[in-house]
Amino acid sequence: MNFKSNLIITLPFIVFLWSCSPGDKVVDYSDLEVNTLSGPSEDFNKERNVYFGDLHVHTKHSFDAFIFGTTATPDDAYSYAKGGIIKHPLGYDMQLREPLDFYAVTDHGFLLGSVPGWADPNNTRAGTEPFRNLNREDNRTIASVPERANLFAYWVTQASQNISWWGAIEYLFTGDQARASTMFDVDIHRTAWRDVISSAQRHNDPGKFTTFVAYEYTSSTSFTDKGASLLNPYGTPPFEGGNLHRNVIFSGSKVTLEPFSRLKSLNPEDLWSWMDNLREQGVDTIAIPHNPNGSNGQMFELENWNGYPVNVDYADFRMRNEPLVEMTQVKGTSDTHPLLSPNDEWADFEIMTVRVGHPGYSRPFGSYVRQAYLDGLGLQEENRGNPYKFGMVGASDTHTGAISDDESNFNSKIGILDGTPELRGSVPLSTEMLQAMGVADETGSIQLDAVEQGVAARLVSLKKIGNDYYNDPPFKEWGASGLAVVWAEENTRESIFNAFRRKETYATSGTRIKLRFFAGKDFKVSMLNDDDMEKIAYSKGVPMGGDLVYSEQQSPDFLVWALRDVNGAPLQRIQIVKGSVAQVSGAPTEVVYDVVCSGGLKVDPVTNRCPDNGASVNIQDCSTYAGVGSSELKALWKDPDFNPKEKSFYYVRVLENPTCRWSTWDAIKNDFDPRPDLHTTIQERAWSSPIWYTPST
Amino acid sequence: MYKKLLIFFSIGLGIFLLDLFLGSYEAEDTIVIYDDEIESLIASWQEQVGREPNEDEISKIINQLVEEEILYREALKLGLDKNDIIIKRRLAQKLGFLRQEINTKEPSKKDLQDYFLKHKSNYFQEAKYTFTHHYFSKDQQGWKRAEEALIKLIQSDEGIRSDPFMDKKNFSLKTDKEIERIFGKGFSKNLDNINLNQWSGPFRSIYGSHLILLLGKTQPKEASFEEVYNQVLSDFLLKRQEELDKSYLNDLKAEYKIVINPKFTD
Repeated sequence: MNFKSNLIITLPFIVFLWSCSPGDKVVDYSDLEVNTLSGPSEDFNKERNVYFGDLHVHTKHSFDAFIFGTTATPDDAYSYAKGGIIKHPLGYDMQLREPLDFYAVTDHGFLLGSVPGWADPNNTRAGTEPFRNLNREDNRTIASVPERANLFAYWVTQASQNISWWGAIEYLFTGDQARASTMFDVDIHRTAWRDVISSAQRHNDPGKFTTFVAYEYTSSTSFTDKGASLLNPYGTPPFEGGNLHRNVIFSGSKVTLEPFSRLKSLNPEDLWSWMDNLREQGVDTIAIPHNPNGSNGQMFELENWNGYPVNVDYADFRMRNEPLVEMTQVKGTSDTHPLLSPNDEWADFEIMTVRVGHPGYSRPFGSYVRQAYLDGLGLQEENRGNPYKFGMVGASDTHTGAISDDESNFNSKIGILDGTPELRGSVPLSTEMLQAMGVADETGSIQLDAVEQGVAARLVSLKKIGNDYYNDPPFKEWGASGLAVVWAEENTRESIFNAFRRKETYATSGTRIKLRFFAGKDFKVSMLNDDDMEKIAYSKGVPMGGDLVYSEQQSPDFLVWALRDVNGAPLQRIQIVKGSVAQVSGAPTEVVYDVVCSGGLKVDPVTNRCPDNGASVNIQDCSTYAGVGSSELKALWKDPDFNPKEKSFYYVRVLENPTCRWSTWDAIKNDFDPRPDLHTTIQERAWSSPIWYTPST
Repeated sequence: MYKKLLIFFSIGLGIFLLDLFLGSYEAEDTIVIYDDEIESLIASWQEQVGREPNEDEISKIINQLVEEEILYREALKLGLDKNDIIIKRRLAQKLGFLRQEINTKEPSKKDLQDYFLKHKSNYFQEAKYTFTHHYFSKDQQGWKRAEEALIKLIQSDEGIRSDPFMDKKNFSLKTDKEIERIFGKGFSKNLDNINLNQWSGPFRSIYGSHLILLLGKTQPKEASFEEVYNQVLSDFLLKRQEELDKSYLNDLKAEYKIVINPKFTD
């Protein structure tokens, strides 16, 4: 990126600093809390309890969710997380198998609340007509899919393009591009944000259920040099569209009057400055980037926004604002990519090949966390700090208010647009659907011309397999993932937020595997059967997310312990993924070690692999072969290739026995064979935050 | 008469001068900016920028305020506030905000009690169990070891070697569902048929075998008001907000004659 375009893009932000945006005022909403707790809760545990949650949930206040037919409010979302039943936009019931312990509604900050406002029949603002009464009961059907797809496009072009002069002046004084749009109404915006806040406050129940006030900062590499000006700061498309989205989580009840959105700046570093500024006022927040896999290599770059190589200052700046990364969610998993980790047989797991909201291929380099961890250590070796020393969480990113992480009962995440198996591409399209899409005539025969035109206009994506036509949207690559898991003393905002800061967190693909991971010195095998195991491990070592202070020549001791999900499949193996960099050069190496195998099988010391445990799935009915796999796995492990001079990280990956993927469930429930070009089974898994080893000098 | 008139006018002049002197007189073309207004603007500037504004910046702040006021008054003179849908909505929303503030007032205990009695079925308390357990992992001959341990436990409480359980040993006031979340489906029914304060088992969970010492059980029952006070309060507030919004609007509607399509009215 050259300097001129930077200037054009950052200029509004400078103006913003001059003029002090009114939306940044901090308000204390503690008075909206209903449940309070004095003293520790009943379940307080110094050695910490495990809590499962989702920190990425959209409701009707998000512009896209509303266009997808969602009418669920933040209150609905929280009721659902506590085990209640709410409706999918297509009218069917949704309920969790087990309630969650914490949940955060994270609607898109930019234009938050605007689209439902435009749909309000009383709104007569110019430009909002096409949205009028969009989500009336009789319009929440599959027949509305084309209308919704068109509205999405209309929204992209119109919402930002109709600029009033008065609005432009407001924009110059606030730095908020939204204010330039004739369609934007700040009162609607603030009212919706206040609904998000008051709902979180109402549903927070210390000791039982935790909520966070939060929103999504939805940035992307959406700017060009071409046609850029003060009133068109992002320039003229085509844009790269690399995903830079983050969820911003407020630690407590003190919240700004408006969220800091992409319409103030596309530069995440400006978001961090805003967060730094809040922190100085006593308001702590963290930002959690998501979908690095769809960033086209932009999430974990080696350069800062202005194109300068990252250094220690950048590393500190990033780490104090972004201690966690959302590594898995519906739109794919960002552990690693088969091209980046050719020796990891489990690397090909729920890979999404395209960018977020963009049909282009997302280049793997710079888009996956394992490589970021390695790059971070390499930078550190060059004394440039480590900006990629983050912990891991998972999430859903649902746009219906309801996380959908059960393969056998999956409704994906974008409401009406992927609310049926046909739309998701997991079963062939019926004649009626093909007719509705305009590619089949009255007799049901396919009109190849219409198919070609539809595909060319990007209104239709079809794939012919055998004699069947399948819908072929990006969401066929989406997965029923995932969860954020923390180890915290009790189920309160403070305790869980501290766990985020400590990175004592892990991610799962939706399963509720329980996982402990420690590294330290003088761990004894007898610990494994000691009721005080955790107490000893905490005192002699560090938990997941920690830094190992260590000065021995021999490998540290690693303690891994996993319990299966009571509703999931048995465990197949526990692995440790190790990454390290050579001294001076920082050249990276990664190895995946199997550490414990199910059923008492032994790891082959040459290949570092467990023997096959014989687990299998019958894809005719998704039944599994019972009698293999373990309910619990635990072990002490030493790194056989330990080099005390090399900076390293170690994280745990726990694999379940294989089970049917959601697309296979969709197919067999509707009496079809599984779609042949998709994986039929998956191995649900959990990934711990790493423990970092740094040689003591 | 002349004298009376003079007194009348001099009193009038006095009041006029006093008024002018105290500065409470605002002509239509006078803009008065009060100190506290400026102070609050400076304070919020300071809050956002993190330092005190210098003289230059203060004069900019004041200037901005003056210009805004001028534009505002000119706009009013031109009647720009009439029939403007944006202004209408904004005023309506301001009223909405105001009412939300009002509604944060604490409801009385009686209100809550009435609400509670009316919705008693929502607060039914399931049976809750308090217990401790010994766990014997499936992978290490759990059933056999559990059986042996039970014999020892009945004799004395010492010398039991069980396995550590990740979800802890002691559970207090857990419902059926919460117990099954930890031990797997069907586990809770074991707790229904065992005696208090006596080691029982082994019972199979998804993880292995367990010996259980049931320390307490609360019967399913209707909750008392005090027990569920917090929940009642939160439900009450939600409900009240909904109802107030509806009734407020209905009340207002009653004050207006609403003509939707004038063509069809006389």
